[in-house]
Amino acid sequence: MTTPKPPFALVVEDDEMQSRLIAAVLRKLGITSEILRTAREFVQRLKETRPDFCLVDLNIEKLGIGFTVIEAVRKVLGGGPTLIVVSGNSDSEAIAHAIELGANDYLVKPIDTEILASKIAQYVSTPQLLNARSPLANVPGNGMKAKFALELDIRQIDEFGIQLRSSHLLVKGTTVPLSSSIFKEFLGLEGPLAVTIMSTSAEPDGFFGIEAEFDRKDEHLLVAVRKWLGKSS
Amino acid sequence: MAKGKGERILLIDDDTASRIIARKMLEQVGYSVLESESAEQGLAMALEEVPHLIVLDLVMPGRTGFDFLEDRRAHPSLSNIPVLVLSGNDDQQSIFRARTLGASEYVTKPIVALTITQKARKLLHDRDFVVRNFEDKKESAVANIVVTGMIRAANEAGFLLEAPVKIAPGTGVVLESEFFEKVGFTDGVFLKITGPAKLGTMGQYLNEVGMIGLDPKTVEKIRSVTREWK
Repeated sequence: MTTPKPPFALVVEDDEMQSRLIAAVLRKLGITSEILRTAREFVQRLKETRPDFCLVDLNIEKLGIGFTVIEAVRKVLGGGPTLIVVSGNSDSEAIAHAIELGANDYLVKPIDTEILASKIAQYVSTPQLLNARSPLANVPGNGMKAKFALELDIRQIDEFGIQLRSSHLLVKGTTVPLSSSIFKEFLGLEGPLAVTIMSTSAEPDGFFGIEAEFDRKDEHLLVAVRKWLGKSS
Repeated sequence: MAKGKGERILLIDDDTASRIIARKMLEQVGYSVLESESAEQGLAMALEEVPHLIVLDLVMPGRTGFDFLEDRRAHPSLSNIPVLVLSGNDDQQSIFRARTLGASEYVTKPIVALTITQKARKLLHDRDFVVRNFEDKKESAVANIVVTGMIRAANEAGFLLEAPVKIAPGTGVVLESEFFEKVGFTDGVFLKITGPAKLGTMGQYLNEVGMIGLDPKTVEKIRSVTREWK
């Protein structure tokens, strides 16, 4: 039986001490790495080595170079490798900018082994990482409620419901509040309306087609939709 | 999309007995029936209720069924509603005129249950309400949905969010939860889905969410909180 190839990381870090520390930590986590001192060398080696993930110090050389490196990774290798930024800068604008340019994660220095292992373990897997990462602790009381919003594209609306397209897969039978400027503009609805996911289908580009139905008991809504559909013909 | 039962049919007929008979026949096969005793009232009800089918008598005092068919043309919202004419007139001229004015079917009285229900079924099945398509349009149409989930487990790097959705890896999410207060976030935190979700319980998905931009102080705070949970 052959041993699986360990993940490979390409690192850019210009501080000697930090470089040694990162190299030692990655070795301990079962990850092979190559550490480069300049952005130019790093970008050059990107294509040649095609790493599994990149660790980028945002503050190499001079201001702004770290962001250019993030852009270069996405330009050269697309969304492929995971990119973790490490930086002494905890400013939320810098974090947001790094994410916007394509960073998967961002850690503020100084970094300890455990958090680095936990972060890397979210993206790659090695036996060493399993031991080094912090185990997930169960939230007491069976969990804590969380609400979040997702954006979906509207494909079409008919008298019974709405067809959507999304990169997210919704579970059939789920009823969710849905809002759109369309419903406000054409139907005069101020608040969200409840729709139930009736069916989903995978599409060749990785997206999902989703059929959601309006509340069939809400005759007021169904009449308003039929009126609007009649008018827009 | 599936066309279920319970479609609404508007009966326009000045004759009470005819309305009662037709209503019973249609309700027996699962339709919901609205009634109007004149063409004027029928037009107002059609505009208000937008039924799935209109069953129309032709000879009525005041405005006739022919007038109704003409008046209907001025209202685009009624143009997709099929009209089944139910009339005592069996002459070719009436049939031709009603058809020319847009009636989909013409049935002569006396009312026969099988005939009226079969015609209604056919018209309701054939009807084609307009579908508003947004994919062909230049402007994009988006919808927002609000999903409720549960944070089941956490460490200092992220947490598991169980929800009725498999969120695409790399998606940035904004979450409202007391979890963040508990672990010491006061100014919000950037969150991103780190990998493909796994199947959780009851058909839900376990989405792994990464907390981004963590500093050593926050990491320590999360550790102290999650340590108490173990």
